[in-house]
Amino acid sequence: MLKLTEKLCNLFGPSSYEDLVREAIIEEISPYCEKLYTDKVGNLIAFKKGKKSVEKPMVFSAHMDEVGVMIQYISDDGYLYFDTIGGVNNSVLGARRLIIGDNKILGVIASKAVHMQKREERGKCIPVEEMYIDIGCTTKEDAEKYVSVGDLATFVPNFEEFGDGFVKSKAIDDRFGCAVLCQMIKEDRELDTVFVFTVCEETGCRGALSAAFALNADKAVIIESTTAGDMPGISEARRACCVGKGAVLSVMDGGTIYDRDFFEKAVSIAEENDVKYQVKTTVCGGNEARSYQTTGNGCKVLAISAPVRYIHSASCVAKTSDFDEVLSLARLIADNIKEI
Amino acid sequence: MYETIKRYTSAFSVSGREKYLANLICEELKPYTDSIKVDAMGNVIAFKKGKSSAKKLMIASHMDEIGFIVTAIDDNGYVRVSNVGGINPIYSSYQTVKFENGTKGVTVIDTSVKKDYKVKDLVIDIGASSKKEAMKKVAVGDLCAPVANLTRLMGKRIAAKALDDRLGCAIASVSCKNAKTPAYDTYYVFTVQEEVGLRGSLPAAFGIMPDYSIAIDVTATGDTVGAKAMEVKLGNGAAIKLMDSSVICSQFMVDSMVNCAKRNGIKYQLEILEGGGTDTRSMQVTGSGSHAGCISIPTRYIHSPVETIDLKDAEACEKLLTTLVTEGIE
Amino acid sequence: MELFKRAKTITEICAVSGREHVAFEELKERFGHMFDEIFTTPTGSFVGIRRCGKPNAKSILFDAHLDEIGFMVKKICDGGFLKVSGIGGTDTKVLSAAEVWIHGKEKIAGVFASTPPHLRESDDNEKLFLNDMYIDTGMSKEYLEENTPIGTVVTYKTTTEKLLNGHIVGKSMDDKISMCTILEAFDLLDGEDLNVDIIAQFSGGEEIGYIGATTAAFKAAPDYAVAIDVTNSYIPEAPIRKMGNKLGGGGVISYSGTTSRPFTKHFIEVLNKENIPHQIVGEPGRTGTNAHVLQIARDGIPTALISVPLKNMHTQAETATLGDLENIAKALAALAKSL
Repeated sequence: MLKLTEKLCNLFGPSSYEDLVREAIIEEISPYCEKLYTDKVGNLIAFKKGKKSVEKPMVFSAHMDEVGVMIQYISDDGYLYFDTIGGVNNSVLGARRLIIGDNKILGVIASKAVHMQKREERGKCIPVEEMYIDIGCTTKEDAEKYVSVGDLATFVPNFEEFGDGFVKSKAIDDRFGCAVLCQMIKEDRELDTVFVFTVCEETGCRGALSAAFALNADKAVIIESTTAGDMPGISEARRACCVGKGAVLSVMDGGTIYDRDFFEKAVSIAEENDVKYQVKTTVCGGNEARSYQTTGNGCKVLAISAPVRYIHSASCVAKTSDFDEVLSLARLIADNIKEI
Repeated sequence: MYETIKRYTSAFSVSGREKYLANLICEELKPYTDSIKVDAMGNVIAFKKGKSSAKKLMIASHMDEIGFIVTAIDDNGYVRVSNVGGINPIYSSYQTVKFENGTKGVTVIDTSVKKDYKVKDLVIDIGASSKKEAMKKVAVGDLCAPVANLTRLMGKRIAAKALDDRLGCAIASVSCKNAKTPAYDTYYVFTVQEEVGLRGSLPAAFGIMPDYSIAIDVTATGDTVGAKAMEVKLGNGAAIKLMDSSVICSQFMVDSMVNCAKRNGIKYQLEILEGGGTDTRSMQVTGSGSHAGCISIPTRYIHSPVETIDLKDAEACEKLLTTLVTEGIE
Repeated sequence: MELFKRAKTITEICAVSGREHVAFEELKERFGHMFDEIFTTPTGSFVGIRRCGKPNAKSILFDAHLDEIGFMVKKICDGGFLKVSGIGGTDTKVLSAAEVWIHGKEKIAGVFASTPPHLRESDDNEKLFLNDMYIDTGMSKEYLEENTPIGTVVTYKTTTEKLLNGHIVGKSMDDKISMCTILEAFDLLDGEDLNVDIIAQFSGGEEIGYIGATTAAFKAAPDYAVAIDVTNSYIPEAPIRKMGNKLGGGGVISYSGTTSRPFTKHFIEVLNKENIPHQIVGEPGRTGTNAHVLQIARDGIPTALISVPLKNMHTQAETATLGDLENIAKALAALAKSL
């Protein structure tokens, strides 16, 4: 699964441009599922027959898109001004390299040199609206040969094994989730299951809305990546979750209060099977559980996440053992829960 | 060691007026050196011939301490001063100070200033009731510093003024006596005017043109209340400097010191000081440059009248220095 | 060697101020054959001399600094995190989530920890300084204590790549691309009949106070010197008086109160005669380069300063153009021939 995670992380796929990720997933899973189609908004939906059929199969969902930036204006000097697509904090953008648009042009986000900063500017991160990308063009005319307004850009692919059992990459959120779903599709399942690879999570959990409406499921499990704040300078109480402590189960986040029964069932399955898990300790962030929960007839939702540090930056850091725990728990839930 | 520290901290030696301490050191070390002289700036240069004259080693510790210089005397007899070296007005207020001629006074802060004290808010009351009376004892340009005040704490630690860098001088002085035959031609240099910008060591180094150089000075510790992240602790041994704001020590010297300490079972710790400079820099950059390093003595509350050190650390520093001098730099 | 390849090779060398000696072997191996004599100094400078073969020949020294900004480990924290001190003027606002190499006994990768926005207490534009930052290594504290003790050097982890139109991006272009221009000039002068010895000085410690140039020039004792450094070129948010200094316009020659005006004039005349593109700026003060210390080494060395226009200085995304490098190499070669 790590190889596949690497492959998926390194693909270009900011929200609304998930095509490359979707193609790679189709290639990966098409031999292993009974029905596979792309819906009107771009979500990829796969039906997997289990040993036993069930009336209302459980849905597993992960999003294909990643955060990035969109080009908004090309200046007379050939610089590209942009806004973020998804929540990218300005502090992780300065001096970063980006791959831009269909032509895959390399660019860097410019950063006024420390020598030219006034004292009060030192250490202060530039607001996104004042940042611009340098691609090596000096006129608007020249830049327009390579890039257009509306082009999307993401961080340069940089997946790498790191430290003692860690990985570092852009877009772990949520290509990791996609890799878990792919792995589950490749294996034999006990029960019928539906897998959804969604679009545009980072721009408001939008893809999941359409999928949830069409599928009208009653149980959905979101496989996500969630912010780990286990670093010095953040108090224990605010760490949310810790890398290396296993799969993260959420009780409540910024968008959802999770189904209590489903949560408790997941906890007892984890306990019985020695799956390492932790419960997210802060109410923050949010994911497409909220879309599934409130669309159509509504649905019981559960989120299983991998703890990831520096999420939404060019260098997210996660531990591979957590990936394994998430996969184990997802498998057990898929194969053992018929009704809640 | 303790006696030497006591003697050296008692001498008057504000930057620019180091002659009393210089004389004391000259007298003391004369029997242990091949030659000893005071150069044009006032640096004491004590030379010991080595087994080999192929290389030259320079050791620097500075004799001067921070203090005040009189800028004016007001009508009520208060003495107005400016700082000599890096004075922190809080550290230096409400102290007894002594002038070169023995006149004593106390430092007080202008009571109308409530916060953000500056040196200009410090005045010295020498007990005079008028300008005329004050001027009998003190003139513009006179220097003063806190009175000697050595206190032993729990037997093993010492609090005193000017351990920066009398302690360095004491260590170098003891080492000069202990190092029977140095490996190379060795110059123990007691420098002037370090506190005002590493001024004395520069010409001293130029005259010597050392291949290797070692400064002996104090460093801050990370174990005071509210300290910034810093690994140095009082009592953890001689501190081998990696970097301060004036210098990045030569890797070669750092390695030599670490190996020497390991070989001889001398307790040591590595030091990065953010802020503060040492004579290491001027020795590193003089002429075509030298391999420069620094042995630091962990010291709390630097530039206050209660600089606090552990005698064991000072002894470790001395042992490390003496061993480097006699065994040579590898 | 092709220019981009040479620029990439040189800029990817990691040589933080005060620890430049780690690069000496590699420099010797790659470029040693270009010189007749080589010496290195305790302050991190690598100097190569090519003799012209004429008796009592004068000499001209080309200086570019070998050192780069970086960090030094100052504390090892629980959970595999390191705290570092800056070496040289690091730009802390671009460090959040930046990748680094930690040059321990074993070289390992690290990432500057970045507090996630939704866990942050203050607003987005809070300032970032090293005192509040940590490097995540993914390793155990025990491993770090053994492998990356206090004093271990840390550099940006990145590669040098091409942008469009001959622009290149990478770390430590400041000032390794200037080393590149000197080597190119030596190539151009290969086999030429010169009246002067030419000296390539790759000096250490520029970012921590010009210490390598001061000391190496004292030893090399040349008759003329040219410092080659980088200069912040015009960007939209720069003051208007910077507008005369642009990427792609050729080397930027400074008139300065701290260098030799007659020698600078001579340099410019040579370039005008040879039609070599260049730009001229006025920098009254110390120029922030080795030029001002070369000028006052020993009994004084007439010194000129030419700089490579650069953007994003002191970040891992320093940007320059290959055309400027070529023009500066030509300029240096023409100057050597003119003496």
